Amino acid sequence: MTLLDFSKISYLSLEYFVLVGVSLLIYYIIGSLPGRIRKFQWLVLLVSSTVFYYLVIDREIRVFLLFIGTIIISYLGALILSSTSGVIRKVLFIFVAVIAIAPLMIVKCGVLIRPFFPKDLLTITNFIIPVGLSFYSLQVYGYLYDVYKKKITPEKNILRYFLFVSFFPHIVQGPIARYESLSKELFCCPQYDERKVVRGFQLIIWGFFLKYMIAERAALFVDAVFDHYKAYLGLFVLIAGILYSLQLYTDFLSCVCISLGIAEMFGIVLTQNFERPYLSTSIRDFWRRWHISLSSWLRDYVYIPLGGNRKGVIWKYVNLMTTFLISGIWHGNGYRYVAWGALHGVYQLGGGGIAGGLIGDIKKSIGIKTGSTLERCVDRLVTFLLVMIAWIIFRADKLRVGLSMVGSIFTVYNPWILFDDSLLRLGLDWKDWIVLIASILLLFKVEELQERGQVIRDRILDQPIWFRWGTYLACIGVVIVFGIYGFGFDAKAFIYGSF
Amino acid sequence: MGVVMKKVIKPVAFISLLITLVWLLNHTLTLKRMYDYFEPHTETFRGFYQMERNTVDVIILGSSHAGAAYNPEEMYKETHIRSYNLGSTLQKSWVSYYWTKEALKYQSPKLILFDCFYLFRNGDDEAAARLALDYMRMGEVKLEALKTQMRLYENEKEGVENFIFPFRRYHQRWKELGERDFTWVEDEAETSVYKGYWFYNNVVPVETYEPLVEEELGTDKAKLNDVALAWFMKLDDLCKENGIKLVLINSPSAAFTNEQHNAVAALAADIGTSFIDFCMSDVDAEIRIDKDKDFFNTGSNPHMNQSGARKVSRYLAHRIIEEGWVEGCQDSQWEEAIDFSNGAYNDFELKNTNDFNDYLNLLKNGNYEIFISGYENAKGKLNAENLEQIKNLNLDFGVKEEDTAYIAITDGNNASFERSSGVSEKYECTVRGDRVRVVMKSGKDRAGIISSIKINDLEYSKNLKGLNIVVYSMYRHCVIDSVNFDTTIDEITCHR
Repeated sequence: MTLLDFSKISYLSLEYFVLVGVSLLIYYIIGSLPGRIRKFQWLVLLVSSTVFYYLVIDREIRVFLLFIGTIIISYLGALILSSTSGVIRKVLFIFVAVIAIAPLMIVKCGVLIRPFFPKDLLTITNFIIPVGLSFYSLQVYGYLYDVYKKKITPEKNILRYFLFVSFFPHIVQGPIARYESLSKELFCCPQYDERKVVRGFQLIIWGFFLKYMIAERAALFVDAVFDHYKAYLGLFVLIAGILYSLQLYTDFLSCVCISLGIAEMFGIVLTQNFERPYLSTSIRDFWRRWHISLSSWLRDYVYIPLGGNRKGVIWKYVNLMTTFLISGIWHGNGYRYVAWGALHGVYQLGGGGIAGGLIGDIKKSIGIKTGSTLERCVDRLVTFLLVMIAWIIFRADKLRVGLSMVGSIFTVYNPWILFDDSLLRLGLDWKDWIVLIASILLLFKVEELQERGQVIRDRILDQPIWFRWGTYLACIGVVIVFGIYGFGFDAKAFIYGSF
Repeated sequence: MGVVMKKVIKPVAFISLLITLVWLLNHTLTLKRMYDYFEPHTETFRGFYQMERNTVDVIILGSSHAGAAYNPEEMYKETHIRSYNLGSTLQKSWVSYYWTKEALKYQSPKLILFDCFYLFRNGDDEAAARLALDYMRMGEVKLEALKTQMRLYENEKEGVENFIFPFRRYHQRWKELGERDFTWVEDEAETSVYKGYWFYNNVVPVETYEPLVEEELGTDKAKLNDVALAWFMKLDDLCKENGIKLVLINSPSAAFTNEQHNAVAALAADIGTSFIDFCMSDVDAEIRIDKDKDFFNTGSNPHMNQSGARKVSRYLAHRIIEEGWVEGCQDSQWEEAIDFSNGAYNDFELKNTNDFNDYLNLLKNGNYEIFISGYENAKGKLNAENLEQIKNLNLDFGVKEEDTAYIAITDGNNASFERSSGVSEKYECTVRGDRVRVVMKSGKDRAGIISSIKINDLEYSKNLKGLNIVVYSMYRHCVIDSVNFDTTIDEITCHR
């Protein structure tokens, strides 16, 4: 019997970090060899990525073949695209793109297209959903579109292209990479750089902190309320909504931190996916900071190709709504996701144009000065509340349930639950609440410093070794002792991994 | 050198520190119950590893019945049998098998006593099986045992790391961490004095206990559990391979039936060994189990308390010698723990004594810190003999007729504080190396007359008329008794 069981590998498992450790060792051994050998350094990443993907799909050969099929079709399609022009080029692009993202379309639009297809067909498609489908499909589409638009030249080496699609730190949950930027990182043959490795390590620790100290702890309360939505109304929903907003953010951010951290240990810089979204002062600002790789993908491959704001105000709004509806559909197979996307579209239209002037007038009438700290605080609070309401619909079992839960915030009066220990009986006792609140405060303190342009990781790196190591060990110890994980809890999966 | 330092030595040094941290947290967060009265579980297994190699001649296996009934120190006192009790809560025979395998790495026992209670069941209590393996040292045997555990309970997907790194299972314990979680290094030495025995102090009458009579046994046999039997046969093979005598035993029980006896006796005959059934009337005639005094609990499966265990262990010690299975041998490891064992029996007697003079006499044990707080006039109707017994605890007890407050602290030989007055008294101190906080009050309070003894902020005083006494055991690190003797009436009455 061995300690490691690779059949249950995930981004949080010991097996994954063993894979990373071994890959790092070989990667940098090759990196220290002469140039003609070193240029094959990326092959280590290719092997690791292939092994990881094969393991993470539980050695399901049909899923693996579907994944490889998508890569081969898009690879060949891009090569042929580059040698065609005119209508043929356009038709070929549409043909290849549709084939490449067909599995994603079927999975995501299942509930919407169900009436038009035999029941059995959808059952089959549910059975073979590949891990990371939502992310690598967008990556492949973006690659094909960029080749079609001649922004990039197609990759000739299929193994290099395979690595671009399958790069293991981000295959399951993003960030969604662009070939133009990621290819420069993947094939640059870096040598061992202690500073980069440690910076990556710092991000991994932070990722675990976010996941186990905030996301998983908040989930205990959130699940208790959302799983019994008929019993918990009013203030319960408001608190669960706030916690779910934080849970979703920290859960996703933690995975991104771990992905970015591991990539950085390999000397590869992935794009940032978050820029402190809950410090946003408007919905538009929120979408500049939340899931940046998806937002920018939707902007570049949906909104702008649809015409963006180039065809007048009406078409701008139509395109915006279309983009947000697609964003909603991408997140999941259900009407509540569509509604969530639509709601954000409405927020954009309201805040950005139709009601923008009105909001300014209201602020002026109640004495909030433009550009003041108070205005920034009010804007942040209002933005957070709007985002939170959308998240409640997003998290609820069904659209109808979500709407009723949101409604109860405004119609059910139960402020006494703040004082009669009701909140201590829903998965979190008072000690958990203290740890949760302290962790959230720490998160916001860090974000505030980042907002001011400070790079905390670099500041720690500039300290003496005893301080650095003491900090790392203390953080790891805190997560081990106070984190929510292990026996009795299911903290293995990330929320966004299921989108 | 600089490059090597950067690329190799620093990462290795950091990883070493990280492993040390994880090791420390593993130990800190793991459940500790050695000082608990109810089922100390397998923490005393730590002590097994402290025994000198090849000195344990007899190993006792089985469930809680075994843990509570067979006291190795008592056996040693009788015939110098060197035994260790590896019984654990709900111990299944597969757990017994792996613990035997583990034990053979360190010891070469001549006799294994297997309590048969779990031959009739395999149980689905996964937590107990986990607890039994917590303190087994990491190695091939433990990994094999964990694999069996995961297979039997169909939790293979959970991952072996939950078993190998106990902090993954116990990390929620940060909410209840106490002194012992931070003193496990210094407690290590104390684990071996128990020799795996569970010192139960409660006395609960078991009316339904009746020994089995040979003539009434009949021929019907109960069915042994298939899984339990299969693992027992593996244990038998293991013993035979290593030249160890395997003997089946059964502790006194009100739930053991004629059919069960017949089944175990037949099994013993099949494998060519003996079966000592303490439920049988012929054995009972020798040990004389008192159903009013020798059981710890009632219900369907009563267990022995210290009194019952003393009788069973003494008999067993002599029987082993008589059968010639093992010879007695003097050994300092058992010799040095006799005081502890006697002290533990003193605890038992103390907890079950209602006579004032006897009680005070037992307090002179020297292992206690005794806190006394008076309510109204503590002297009351105490007679000369009573006062003499109090003074034997090195207390002056100069309580006057008009005094309503009295506070005293003594270890039985030296009084560290004693005061009485007509108003009120209050005293705070710490004991056992400043680790235990004590706040005592006696006399008039805002709410009336009070007699309070708070230890680590918990009220232990009965707060009744007369003398309220709280006994803290310096060995067991806990309060072992709280009692009130009403000294204001002619016949001193005990309240618990």
